[in-house]
Amino acid sequence: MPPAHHRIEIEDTVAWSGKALASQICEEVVLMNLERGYYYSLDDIGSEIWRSLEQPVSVASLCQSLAAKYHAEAATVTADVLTLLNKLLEHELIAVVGG
Amino acid sequence: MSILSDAFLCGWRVQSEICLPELLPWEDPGAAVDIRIRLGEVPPLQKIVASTRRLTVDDTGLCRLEIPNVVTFSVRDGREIVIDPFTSPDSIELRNYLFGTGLGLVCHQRGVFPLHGSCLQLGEGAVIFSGNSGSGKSTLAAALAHRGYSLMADDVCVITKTNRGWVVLPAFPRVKLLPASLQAIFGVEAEQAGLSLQGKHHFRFEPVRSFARNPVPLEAIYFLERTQNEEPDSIVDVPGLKRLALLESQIFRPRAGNLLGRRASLFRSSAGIAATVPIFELRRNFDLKRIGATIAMLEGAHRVPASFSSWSG
Repeated sequence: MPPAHHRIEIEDTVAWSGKALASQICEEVVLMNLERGYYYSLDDIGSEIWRSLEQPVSVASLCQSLAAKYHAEAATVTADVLTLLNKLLEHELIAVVGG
Repeated sequence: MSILSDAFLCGWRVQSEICLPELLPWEDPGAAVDIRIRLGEVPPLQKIVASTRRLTVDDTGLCRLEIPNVVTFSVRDGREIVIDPFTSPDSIELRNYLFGTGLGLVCHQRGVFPLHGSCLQLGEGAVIFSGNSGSGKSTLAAALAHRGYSLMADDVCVITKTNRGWVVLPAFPRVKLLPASLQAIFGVEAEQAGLSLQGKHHFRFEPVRSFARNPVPLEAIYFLERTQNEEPDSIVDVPGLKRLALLESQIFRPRAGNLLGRRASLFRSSAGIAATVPIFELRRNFDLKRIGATIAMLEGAHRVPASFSSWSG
């Protein structure tokens, strides 16, 4: 179990933490942290990333496939994905499962 | 002891040893009994797995609720209710808890979604008015019922998903009112009209003239917000995440649902409703004299049969 202040990096593998309930309202994925009772919503790309984390996935391969799909620059995608993943981690909605 | 006829509640056949004058009589003699209510002792539970101040749940999902000086009752599987009255089994306060928390527990055990609010049929659809206690749900429901719309529920709206989408199951034809609302809507001083108010909170289960027994598709949910001063009434669309948060905040007896292991299921229902049912904030002034303007606005927003436009009530 990594410490709470661990920051997700490109070499990490992440997955759902099991502490969140997720559902879909129209295009948005909505999440609730069961322990804290907070609600979150993700935009369409955020929702897509969320769905891909059901099973452990390496951050590097996640960024790669998103960059390919959206024809975006790898560095930009990586920065954006890491920002989102670290927010999700901060709220304990996902967890680092290996490095 | 007199033989009581079975009663109708949310489409369930209720067989009760205590008199439930607020409920409609059951009509179909061939149907199986869904809920049995009997008098008996309700001892403390043995293997308690979860509890709040008044509610305990055992390892079989049996719930026991203790309301000091009124009643203790247990609810099992959404089917069996045992009532141990503190004094009279015919007290209105006892029935108030039975139709409130008791119905909430039945819903959680049966896996249907109980939303705190009042519901009427406006046009073809069921419209729920939800919001915090004191936001005027029952008063608005009473005013709409007085105008002739079919009441479906007051306080607990029972919602379930069918192949037609989300529907509301009509509960019973009464609204729970306090004296100020009675006076504003019915134009009478409660005492003068012989409307005896009962219970320590001086409420009354006021009968309504129109009630239908069939489930009705849920057409809209309004969350009531009180406005100040001269702000005109308005209907405001609610964005996605807030819809979910509002619904979750008004689940009826949510802690009981959580204790019964329904958290994830309630969340899925909230999200399912939020995704498919239009949800608005109804901003209105609390001045009872202005309730006519609110009703006119709602009639404009929903398809209301022509007969209502000439209604003089």
